[in-house]
Amino acid sequence: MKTTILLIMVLCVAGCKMQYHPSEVRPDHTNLNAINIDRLKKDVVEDTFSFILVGDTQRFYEQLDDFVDHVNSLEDVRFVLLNGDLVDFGLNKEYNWIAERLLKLKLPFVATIGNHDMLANGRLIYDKMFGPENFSFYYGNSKFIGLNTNSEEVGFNGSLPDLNFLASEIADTVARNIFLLSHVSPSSAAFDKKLEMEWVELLQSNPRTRISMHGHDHQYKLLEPYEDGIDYLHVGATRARNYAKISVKGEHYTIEEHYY
Amino acid sequence: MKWHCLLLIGFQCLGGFLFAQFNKGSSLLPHHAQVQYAGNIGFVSAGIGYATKNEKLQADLYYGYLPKRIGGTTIHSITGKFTASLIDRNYRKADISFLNLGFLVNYAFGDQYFLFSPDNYPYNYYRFPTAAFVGLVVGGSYKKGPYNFYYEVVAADRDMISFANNPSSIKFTEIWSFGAGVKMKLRKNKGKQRVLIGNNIPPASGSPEEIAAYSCNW
Repeated sequence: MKTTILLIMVLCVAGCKMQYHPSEVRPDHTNLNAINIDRLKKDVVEDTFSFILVGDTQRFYEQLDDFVDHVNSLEDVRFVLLNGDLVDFGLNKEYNWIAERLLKLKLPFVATIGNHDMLANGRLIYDKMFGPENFSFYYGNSKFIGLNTNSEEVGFNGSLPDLNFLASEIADTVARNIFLLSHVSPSSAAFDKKLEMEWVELLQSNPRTRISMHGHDHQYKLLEPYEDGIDYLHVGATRARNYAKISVKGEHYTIEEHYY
Repeated sequence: MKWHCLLLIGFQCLGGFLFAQFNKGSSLLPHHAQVQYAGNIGFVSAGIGYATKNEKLQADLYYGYLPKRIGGTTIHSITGKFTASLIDRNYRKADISFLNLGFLVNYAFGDQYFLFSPDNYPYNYYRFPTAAFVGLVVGGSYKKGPYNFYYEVVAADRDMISFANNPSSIKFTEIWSFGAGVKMKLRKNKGKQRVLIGNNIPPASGSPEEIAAYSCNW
């Protein structure tokens, strides 16, 4: 009988992953953004390229599986951008579930942080698993700036988004195109209203700013709310099986709404 | 300490009190003390608990600790756990329970967690608490003498929701996490001796018939 119990225990240890607390910070993977950006640097970049923008993946694992399969079947896309709310409850296990699926993508992927990703110890997990919340990288002559814009999560204390970071990154004279990637858009109620116009003016300060890309609203929207020639693209949640495909050709771009 | 925590402790005391009443007046002193490894409530957890007379129902209170070196961040939490032994057998003076079923409520301390969406939200934006979770507990135990060795697997409410929404993507085994511990009995849990009234006093000595006759009076 003792052996039966021991056997059950051994099976359980073997079968279950040890979790000390749901809010623990023990991601299975680290520095995913940096690793993927390194992969992008090795790409031979042509004048024309396409990338995919996908929205809130939070707790939509089945749809994400389908998304991964779908994107793996595409041939004319170079990378995937995720604009936050990767997870729903900010839990370690959720982050691992999402990463496990994203790592099945053949293409490199880069993710920003969403408001749900900051719940409990989510911010610590994101920082470990993906890296800094504010970052930038080049793909050819195009610059991509990722930012944490979830002001509401810090009680609108002025620290998010980090406009100093944005100002230094956007004062770029080399990039032919600048794309911004963040979860909450400046027109959202979750964005610090005191910083909204500053954000808009910073984007306007560089004439090569093309698109400000967002999620959060779970609805596909392509707007030009500030009538300044800068598109504000919102992509729907993974549940809606929706994504946007952005194709860049020189200094021009096209945005397509897709479903899978 | 927040009132929620006091509530949980109160809940636990109530459990102990009810068990005590059930056991006809035994004291509120804990019936056992225990330590546990893992099981979703900390790296190591320790606490006290109560049991019914037949020890089939147990209510335990734990303080759980997860050090930063192991958990990436330090987590202090308290847990109330209620389990029932559903299938058990006595075997060579040991009591083996093949199926313990129950639930636990865990509350983590820290400003990064909340029970209700923080004040900076105009409404209850997040309809779940990040400070607390309910876990389903399934396990078994081996009791011998004052010791009760137990193991269990725990599934947290949120992981169950994730599984329920994505049964073809998330494996059922992925939502369970293992824990094991030992409880040590602190006192006998037999309840207060019945007060014998009037003439119904057992004979100090007597013939076997007399003793048998007295026993029948019960």
